[in-house]
Amino acid sequence: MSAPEPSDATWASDQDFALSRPFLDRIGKAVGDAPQVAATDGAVRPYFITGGRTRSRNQSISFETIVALKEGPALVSLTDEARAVATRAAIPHSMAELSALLRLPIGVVWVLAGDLADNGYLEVYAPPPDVLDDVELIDSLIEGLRRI
Amino acid sequence: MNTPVVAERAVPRRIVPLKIVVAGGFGVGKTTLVGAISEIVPLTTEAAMTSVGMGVDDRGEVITKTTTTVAMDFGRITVSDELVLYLFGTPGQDRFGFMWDELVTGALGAVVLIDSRRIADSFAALDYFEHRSIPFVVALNCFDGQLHHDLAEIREALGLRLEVPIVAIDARNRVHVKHLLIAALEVSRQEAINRRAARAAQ
Repeated sequence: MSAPEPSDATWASDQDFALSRPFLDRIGKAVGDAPQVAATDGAVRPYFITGGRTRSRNQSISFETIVALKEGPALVSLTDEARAVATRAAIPHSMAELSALLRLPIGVVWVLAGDLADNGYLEVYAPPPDVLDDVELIDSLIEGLRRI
Repeated sequence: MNTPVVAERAVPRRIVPLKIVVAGGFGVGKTTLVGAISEIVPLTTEAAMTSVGMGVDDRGEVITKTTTTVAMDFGRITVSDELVLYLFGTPGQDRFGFMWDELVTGALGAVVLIDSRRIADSFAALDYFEHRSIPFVVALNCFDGQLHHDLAEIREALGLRLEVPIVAIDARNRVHVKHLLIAALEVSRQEAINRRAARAAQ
């Protein structure tokens, strides 16, 4: 008796699941009726791709932190998600923008970008640490806003 | 293909990202305000978070742990070659607590947007900014271009300190929003000067 092919249409068409939760794909092929569980479970578990981490070790990373791809390192060895972040960062983007453009929760982008920065792929631009005490910076922002 | 993208890019030597937080109740016009001045169509970022003890039922017996997703709309203003200002519109509910800390850290200031018919929706945000000494301004969104209440009355109803500016705006109006942001930054600037003077006097 051969193992039944996964015939559930929902399962077969749901490529995103296979991408982010590869273990489910294997289970689905081994156990014929397992996909029904997945079919009712609409929630992708995005933190799977971060190894369960929701915060970056890189403390300088917040919502507005901008990253830019450095020249040089090849992106071949990266995971799909990390490569997506790195590729988008060819044009400087903030964490919030990457989250929106890649449709990933902000926490996932923090972890991915933090790892990429730690490994030398990304330049990180964060606000100065004592930004609220920086009168000159606030002045130039006010001046800039008046001009727009 | 895994060829790295080598797009034409001129990355300045220094980029300084800055942010202002726009808080307020549901439907008060935060996204409209952000969209009025943003150079990009407001985007949405999702933050997943776990709330503990928020699912207490009527009899107070069941404490649950739930994961909620909060969507935040934001916009961007490239102010100069170096300065990029982000505006984050955040929901004002208490349950958003811990994400607020991360969002507000490093913010240059805040705007609390209110609807005069539902001013209680802004209380959580006002409490939050006051307790953490984050400079903010209050903006009354006049949806139909009409001011239905006296600003002094609203100031009294909100229990605002005199240093906190309150202005009436139309959140759809770019010029109004621009002056509102400048007003928020002026508060931050004044507080920074006061702290500097206090340190010098020590």
